[in-house]
Amino acid sequence: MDKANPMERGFLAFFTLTAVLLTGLTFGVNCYVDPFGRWAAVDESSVAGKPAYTLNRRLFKLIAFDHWMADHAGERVSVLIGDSTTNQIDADDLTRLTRRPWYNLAYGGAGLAETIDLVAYVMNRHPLTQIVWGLPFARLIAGAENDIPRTIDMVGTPLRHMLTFESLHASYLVLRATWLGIGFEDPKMDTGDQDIVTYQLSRARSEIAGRPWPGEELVSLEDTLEEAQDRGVSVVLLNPPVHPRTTELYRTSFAERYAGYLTLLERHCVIDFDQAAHRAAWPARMFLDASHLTIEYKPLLTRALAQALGVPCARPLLTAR
Amino acid sequence: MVFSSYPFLFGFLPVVLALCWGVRLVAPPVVAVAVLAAASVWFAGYWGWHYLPLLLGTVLFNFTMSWVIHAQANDRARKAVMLLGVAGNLACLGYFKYAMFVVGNFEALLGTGFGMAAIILPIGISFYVFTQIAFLVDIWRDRSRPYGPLDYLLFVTIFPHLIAGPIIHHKEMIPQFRSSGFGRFDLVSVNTGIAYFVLGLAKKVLIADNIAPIADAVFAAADQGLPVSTLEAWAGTLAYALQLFFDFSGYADMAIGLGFLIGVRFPQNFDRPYRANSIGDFWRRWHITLSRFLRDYLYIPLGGNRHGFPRELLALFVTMLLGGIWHGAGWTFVIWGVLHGCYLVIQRLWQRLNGGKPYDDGSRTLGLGWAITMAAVLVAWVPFRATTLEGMLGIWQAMAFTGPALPDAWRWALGPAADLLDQVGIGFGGAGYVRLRLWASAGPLLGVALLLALFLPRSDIMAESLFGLRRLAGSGRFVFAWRATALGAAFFASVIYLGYHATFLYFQF
Repeated sequence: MDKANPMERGFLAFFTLTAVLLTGLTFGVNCYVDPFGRWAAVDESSVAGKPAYTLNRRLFKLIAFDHWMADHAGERVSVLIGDSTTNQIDADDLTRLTRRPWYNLAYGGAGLAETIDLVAYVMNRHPLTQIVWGLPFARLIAGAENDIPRTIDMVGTPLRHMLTFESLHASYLVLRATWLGIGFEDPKMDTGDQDIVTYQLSRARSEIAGRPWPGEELVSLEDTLEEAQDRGVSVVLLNPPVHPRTTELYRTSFAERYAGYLTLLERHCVIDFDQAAHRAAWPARMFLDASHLTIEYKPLLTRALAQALGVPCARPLLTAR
Repeated sequence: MVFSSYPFLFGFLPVVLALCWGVRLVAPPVVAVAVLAAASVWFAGYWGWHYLPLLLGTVLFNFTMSWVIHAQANDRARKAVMLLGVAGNLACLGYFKYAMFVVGNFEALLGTGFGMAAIILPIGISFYVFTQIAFLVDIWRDRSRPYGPLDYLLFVTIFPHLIAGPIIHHKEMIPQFRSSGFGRFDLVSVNTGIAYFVLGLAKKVLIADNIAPIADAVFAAADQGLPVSTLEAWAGTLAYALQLFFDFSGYADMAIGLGFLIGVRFPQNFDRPYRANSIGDFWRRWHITLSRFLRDYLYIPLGGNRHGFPRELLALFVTMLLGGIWHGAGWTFVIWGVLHGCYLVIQRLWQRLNGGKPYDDGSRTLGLGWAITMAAVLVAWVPFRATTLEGMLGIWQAMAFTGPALPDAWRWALGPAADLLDQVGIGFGGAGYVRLRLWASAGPLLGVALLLALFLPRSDIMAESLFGLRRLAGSGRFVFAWRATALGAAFFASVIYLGYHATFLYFQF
């Protein structure tokens, strides 16, 4: 080592300095900005929370849920799980209306396999009273991606997550918004010259048509429902309201498949806002797109759900079997 | 604990290096051998302590057999003991790797179940069993004297190679354990090792892991029996071919880099295989240490080219078939081996017809020979990656333009051009398992990865010449500072992209 060329020593020094500085700086910035709200809860709609929520809503929601659970330690709580159609429900309003604590763990893009894993994960981790499980027809497709196992890993390793590109990206967007005032907007969908409902229905048609019935996933769903029953957790399946044209597409273009979906729902405790009795209550003017309500009508959905939770099968079980 | 993981990078490796370099300041190489052997056994145990008895059991068995072979006075006894040793290793491999496959096939054939409990495949078993078979054969063949227990233990378990090779040879490894540089902190070696390691890490984390989602999406769909478009089938197969190369060669580079850090030279395992101009050329460039093993311990003992042309073809075919089976217990691996066996036989027949002139004359041009070789290799990667025969056939059918050419999701992205394509007979279909977002992110990387696979210099040239300091001696301070900084930045980029489930593909073999 003594005979080492100064250039050789310099090479090692430059390499080490660069690697340590960049890695340390990233870790420090991410710990300081904390875009995913690891150290303290962050609101997903705030400047500090929006980038991380958009980059990885699964992780953001699971971390936020852990904070919320810490505030409700020792309580039996209820959760909403599902995709963006279930995410329309305001958990605070539902808490007020049902007089028991609710958390909305639903997020846009949650596939069937993801919600199954999520239900199992949440049940294993926290004492629950009830789960409202959003299961819209469009999500009943085989082979959808499932990022929940990876997300669960990340939830459990906060320090490691501070060294990821995802955190760095979110931190950068937060700092940019805070220091330079450059806001962050969720990328908008390009629908070409079509109206949003037509565009979304065309895509839904090709997606559902191209993918088989999720037989394997539904076996897991049944197993998970059974496990919930064993644990004394009441599970209610939810078919959220959709635009009348969406219902029409499902009933005409996918008649057989839709019948299978209804049969599946019938076997369990379900709140189905697409039933004939409910359909008139959700006219087209209430919808922003093919499956989401406009802001002014979202509270209506929360109220309707609170009311529907009064049906006998949806009443929480009192004791574990 | 894979090389591209936080526990390895920030825990195991620094501690082991500090211990190894530390003891070598005051102690002879044998102490470093002991330290590294202990660290390697701990590394193996980290994967699951229940794997250790088997690993250590095979070490003890083969070490004992080597001395028993050496002690025999006559040739027949020596050979008998050697065969017993090889049979013991094969029995071990057969039980842990192939028993479930064989029993499963019998069950399917007889329509009954034997109720056999699942056998967990011990990690790295194919590599350490092959390494030790070669060792026993060499002790018998060369009449060489076996080694001491510590040297032998380290030779088999040495952590950079233990899990996924390269398949090392005792003659090139064990003598290094007694060299003065073994286990010592040598600045030139350390810098070269860092260059190798960071290049390998970047290959794995920045390239292989980021193109994997395309291959995963396409093959997962096909394995579930879902329809796949032609573009998805070819893109998925190409993505897998590149993922496998950057993953496995990245691992090999990291292993070589780790070797430099502890004062050991591991053999090169890749030489730009996707530039091969023939299938024979491909096998001289892909997983070189396996090819060397198959040649020395299968092809040549099977007769090689010494017993006439038909026997040579048979030896080639059987060697590749067994090579396929070595990779995994499944019909898809058998098919992969059969395909490569057929490719090599066809090449030899072609050479024969061509007056013995090899097609691959060493030229580096990407011509017709390269195109045919690439197509053949890609077609063969399909069974290698598919987990079901149905999936394999689905991908092959889609590759052969039997279904829609483009995924339906592209219709939206292409806009008016989609109608034009429809009119010229290029149809859309399937559900588009590779999402548009994924095409947008991983698609360009697929192109870059292909260019890198074709034009990036060999790893040793990259690490020892581009970043190695001996060649930099004449260059200015700015050049080495810039290169060291670039390497540091590459390390940083790799660290922040480390995946949470980033295992190496070859671990499963």
